[in-house]
Amino acid sequence: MKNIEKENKKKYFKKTKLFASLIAICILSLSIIQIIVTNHGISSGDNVTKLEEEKDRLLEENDKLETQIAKFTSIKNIKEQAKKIGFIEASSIVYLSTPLPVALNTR
Amino acid sequence: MEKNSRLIIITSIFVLIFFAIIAKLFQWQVLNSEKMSILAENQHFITFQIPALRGEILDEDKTPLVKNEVGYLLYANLKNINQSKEKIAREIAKIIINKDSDGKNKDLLMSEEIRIKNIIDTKDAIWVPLAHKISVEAKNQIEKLNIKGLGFEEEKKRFYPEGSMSAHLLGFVGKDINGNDKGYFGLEGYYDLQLRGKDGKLRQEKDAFGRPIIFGETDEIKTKNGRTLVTTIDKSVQLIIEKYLKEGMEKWGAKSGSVTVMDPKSGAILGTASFPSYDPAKFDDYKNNLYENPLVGETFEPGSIIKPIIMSMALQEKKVKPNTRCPKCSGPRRIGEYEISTFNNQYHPNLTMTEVLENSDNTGMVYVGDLLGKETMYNYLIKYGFGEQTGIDLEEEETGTVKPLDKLYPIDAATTTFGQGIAVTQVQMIKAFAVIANGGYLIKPYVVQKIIDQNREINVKPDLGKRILNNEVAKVLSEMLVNVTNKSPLHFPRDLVPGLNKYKISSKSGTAQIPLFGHYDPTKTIGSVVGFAPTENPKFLILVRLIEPTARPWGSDTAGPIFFNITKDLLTYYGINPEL
Repeated sequence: MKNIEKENKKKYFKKTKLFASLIAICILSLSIIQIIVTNHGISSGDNVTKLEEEKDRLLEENDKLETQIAKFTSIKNIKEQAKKIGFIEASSIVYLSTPLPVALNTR
Repeated sequence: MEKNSRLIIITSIFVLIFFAIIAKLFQWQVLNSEKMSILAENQHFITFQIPALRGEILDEDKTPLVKNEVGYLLYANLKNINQSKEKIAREIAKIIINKDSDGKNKDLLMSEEIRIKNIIDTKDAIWVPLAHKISVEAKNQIEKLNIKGLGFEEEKKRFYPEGSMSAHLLGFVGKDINGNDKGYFGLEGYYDLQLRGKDGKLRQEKDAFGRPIIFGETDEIKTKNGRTLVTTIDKSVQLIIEKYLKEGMEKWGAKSGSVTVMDPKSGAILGTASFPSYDPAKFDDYKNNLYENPLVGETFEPGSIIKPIIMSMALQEKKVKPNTRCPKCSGPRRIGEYEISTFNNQYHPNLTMTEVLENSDNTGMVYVGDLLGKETMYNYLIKYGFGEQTGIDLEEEETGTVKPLDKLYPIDAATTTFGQGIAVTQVQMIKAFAVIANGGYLIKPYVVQKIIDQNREINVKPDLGKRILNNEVAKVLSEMLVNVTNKSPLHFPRDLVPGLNKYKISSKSGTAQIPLFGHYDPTKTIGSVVGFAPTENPKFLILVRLIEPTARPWGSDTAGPIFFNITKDLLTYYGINPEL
């Protein structure tokens, strides 16, 4: 009886030891993973800053281009450029279609 | 014993150290907690203010009338300035005035130099702003000077691709008492809250090098950029009216002038110009009295251009018909101690109502007023919207003046029929005239047709208003005004504008005297023409007004050519085939 009890105790102790070891390994590995991920994330802060600077630079360039487009496509600029290349204001307008009469005078 | 005393001494030392630590911790965490929190906050966190972009203003085609462009705030870190303040002020002033202004005004240069020097001289200041919203070119030039202590911070500024086109309509962006951007006059003023947006804030955890920590604490108040306005303004129409207005003012020597074009069916303002004007990008360089928009902010006595409105009342009330004859038009009319005459002292007995308008006969209009009665006329004037704001979406709108009924004496009622003794704004005039053009409805003029918010578009529905006239009355009066255009001896011969004789155009000219300290100035006039085309299906309504034309006093001679030239170009622009 005593031997069986001893055996059971040994088995129980082994199981507990195994379970505790598994828990410890999980905790350790998760901690290591967290450290790795956090470290990776923190060092990415540098990349984030660079990307944000690049984004700001591109937005600013976009702004400048939009301003240039607005300047070049302004109606006053178009008028000036048209004059420079020889366009003139039409002196007479000829309408190709005329409205149909409501009634015709026939003989 | 010796062992005990050493133990006691060491223990005492440890206890003392322990209490010293507690005391220091108490000092940091309790007595100086606020200061330490701030230091910790600054050490661990970085906070950015993200300024909202002010909304743009676009024309009806969604091309920009007002945009934002990159500008810079020039500041000085006074502790690092190591050059002569006078020299710095002079160099900077030369660049700013040359780059951002015509550079011809020596006074402007001198005052800018003094202003900058005074700022640099500020006592007990470390950081001072020297100039706001300088251009990129100016910034590059200042950088080349290599003056230690100067720095730049980006700040957006307004950019006007069309220069000073429609300046009065747009308004400008200045500063409020707190130094923040604020819109004044025109659309910038009326829609300031919508255009302004809301600044955002970003608070981020940072590392020792100042770089953001991705998994760190982040607080953000999102920036809300200002809304963009899509107006009803057509740039081509605007260009046309500015061209002819400038030419006309020069030719007739007018002190100032305005032209407005409106769609009479919807109330959409297609173009509006006034001169003298100003450059909204450099509004500081101009006198304050130029900022006011004459379309809504100036009142004037309309003169004969109000006669069709009065006639419409009599037609609607069936007091007259187009062929009703005036039995009191053979000579001047006496009202109490006053005598009312025609503008040229010529009289035509038994004029028809159509002829009263053709000849712009004051005595004929007084007869119409008699038939109408002053109470009915007054009620119609209020119905037409005179004496109150039209509700147009522009800042600083005036109401004009209509004499109250109990103060409308017989002479006042008589003079009102030919547009004296009543004060109106231009926008009130075009709103009233549109009733004739659109078949009888009192539409509400407006400038903004759409508001764009992030990715959403909000359409502004036109207010088509209530019916003032029957459709038949409006049509009849429109035809009477065609006669005025074609047959009036007063009108600028429109045959001088090629092609116009193939169209039916309804119009009326007017010449009003200018009141001066209780009487009328005999030497100065306001010349106007108002009309719409084509008569059967009006596409546009135009009001031209010239103040104090010196070459000739009459509206038909001065505002008339401007009106018909604009009409011709607009008929071509809209591709409207000749009707006749």
